[in-house]
Amino acid sequence: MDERLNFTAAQQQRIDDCLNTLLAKTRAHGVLLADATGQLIGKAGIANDRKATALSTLSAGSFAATSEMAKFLGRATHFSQHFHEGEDYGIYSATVNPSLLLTVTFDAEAKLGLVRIFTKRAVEELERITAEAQENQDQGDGIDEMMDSEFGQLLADELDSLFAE
Amino acid sequence: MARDIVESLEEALHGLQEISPHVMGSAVVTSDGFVVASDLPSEMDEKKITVMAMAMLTLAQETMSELSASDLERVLVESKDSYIVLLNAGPDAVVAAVAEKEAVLGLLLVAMRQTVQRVEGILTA
Repeated sequence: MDERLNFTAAQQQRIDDCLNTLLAKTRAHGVLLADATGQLIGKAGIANDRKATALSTLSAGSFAATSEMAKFLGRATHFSQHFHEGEDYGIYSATVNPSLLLTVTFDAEAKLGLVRIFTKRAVEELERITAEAQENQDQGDGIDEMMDSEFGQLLADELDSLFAE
Repeated sequence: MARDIVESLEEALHGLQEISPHVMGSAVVTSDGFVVASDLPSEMDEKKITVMAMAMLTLAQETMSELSASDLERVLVESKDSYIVLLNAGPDAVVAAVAEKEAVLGLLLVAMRQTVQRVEGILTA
């Protein structure tokens, strides 16, 4: 899945709802959904856009670095979860699919067990949404290809028949 | 909402102690050993207890899968003066409790099953 997924307004709303639910249920500070390049797809709890973008980019960088480590270790697949534990803050990231990363930031008030349970459920919901978006996109691509290959010929035929008279 | 979940879980665990007064402490943990909520006395180290509980659970699950195909129902550890009981609470969580030996085991298990039902309800709400 190299190309960027496009979500419909309804799908984007479901993503936002999912992130907000995760935020509310886990006592987290912020929740971010970004692609592998760090481009934000959705966020909850972090009002500052620059901060959110910086965090998602760093998280994507960390994910890319550990993916390379996995390759060094002879693993074909990436790590599916990352957890950074500080004295006061924690960052927990989980992959939705190889190109999407869900990141949760939280402090000591949040229980890691709760973060893990509800992140897992959010990932399942986000997987469903991205699968739907991918399916829509594939269908769209099919129509585009059909249009590209057939439209030109049909137009030429129509013009020929129009001017033949 | 978050405060409600943690508080509701702690309330459910505290309820276990009310039903079965010989329960010294209890916790809800993920199936890989992370604390979700706990109601433990201050002298008990929350992290240490949950990690040890998960080690026991994992060992029991591995043993069960080696010996038979059936799923693990519960883990019960009995010492001279206490019981440790672990029960699954849905696919993601486990309820662990430590009780004094004076507890009637049957009643303790009934009380724990009730708590498990409450915990499952809270986590799936």
